[in-house]
Amino acid sequence: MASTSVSTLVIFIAAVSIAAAVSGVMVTTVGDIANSVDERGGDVAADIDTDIEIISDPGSGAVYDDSQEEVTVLVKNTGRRTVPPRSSAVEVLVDGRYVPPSAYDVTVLDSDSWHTGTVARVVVNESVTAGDHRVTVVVDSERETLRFRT
Amino acid sequence: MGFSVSGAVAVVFVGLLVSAATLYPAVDRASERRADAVDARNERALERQNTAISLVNATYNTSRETLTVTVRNTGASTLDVRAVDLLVDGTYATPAAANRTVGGDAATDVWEPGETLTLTRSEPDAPERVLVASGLGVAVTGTVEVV
Repeated sequence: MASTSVSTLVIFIAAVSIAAAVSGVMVTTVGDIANSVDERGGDVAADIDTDIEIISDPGSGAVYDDSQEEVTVLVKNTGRRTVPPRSSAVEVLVDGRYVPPSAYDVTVLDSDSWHTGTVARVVVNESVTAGDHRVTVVVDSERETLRFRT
Repeated sequence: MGFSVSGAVAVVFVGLLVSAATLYPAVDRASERRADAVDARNERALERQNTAISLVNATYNTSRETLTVTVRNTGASTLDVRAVDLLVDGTYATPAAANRTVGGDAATDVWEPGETLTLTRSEPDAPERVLVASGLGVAVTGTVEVV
C-alpha cells in the first residue's frame, strides 16, 4: 500500500515538474514573441509615418551641376516622423545604380533637424552623361524618384 | 494517476493564462500604433487632396534687386507659412520669416484658403524660374517677369 502511495507521489511530482517546465518554456517564448510584436508595431508605425517628397525643379537645370559633377536633389519631409539627416538613413540610386553613402551628403536647410515641413539637400557625387536620368531617394520603405534631363 | 493529470493540466493552464496576458497587450499596442499611423497618413492624403496653390506672379525689380513671388491658396485647407519653401532657379532660397507675408501680415503663420502669400527676397541677378512648395509637397512653378 505504502509503495503505491510513493509511486503515485513520484509520478505526480514528475508530471507537475514536466508541466512546469513546458509552461516555463511557453511563457518565455511567448514573452519573446510579444516583445518582437511590440517592436514590429513600432517599426511599422514609423514606416507609415515616414513620407518624403522631392521638390527639386528639374526645369531649372539645377539638378545636375556639370562642372562639379554633382546631382543635387531637395527632399522635403512631408511625413510625421523626424528623419535623421545622415547618409546612413537615406539611400540614393542614380539611374538605378546603388550609390554608397560615402558618395553623398545630406544637409538640412534652415533647421537643426529634418522634421516635418523642412527640406534636406542631398548632393550626390556622381557624374552622368548627357541624356535622360533618374534619381531615387529612399527613406525606410518610402521612395521618391525624380526624372531629369542633362 | 488522476491527481498527476489534474496537477499537470492546472500548471499548463496557468502557463497559458500568463502567456495570453503577455501576448495580448503587445498585439493590441502594435495594432493600435499601426491604426494610428494609418489614420494620420489618410489625414495627410486628404489634406494633400484639399491643397491647391497657384502662382499669381513672380516679378523681379531690377532697380531694387528684389524678387517678389505671390502665391494664392486656391485649395480648401489652411496651410502653414513656415512649411512653405521657395526655389529660385532650382536652388533652395526660402526667405526669412519677416519676408513671408500673408495679405501684408508678417506675424502670422496661417495661410487660409483664398489668401495670398508674398515672398520677398533680394537677388543680385534676375532669376528665370521659381518654384513654391507647400508643406505637403504640393508645388507650383512659374517664370519670373523682369520689370
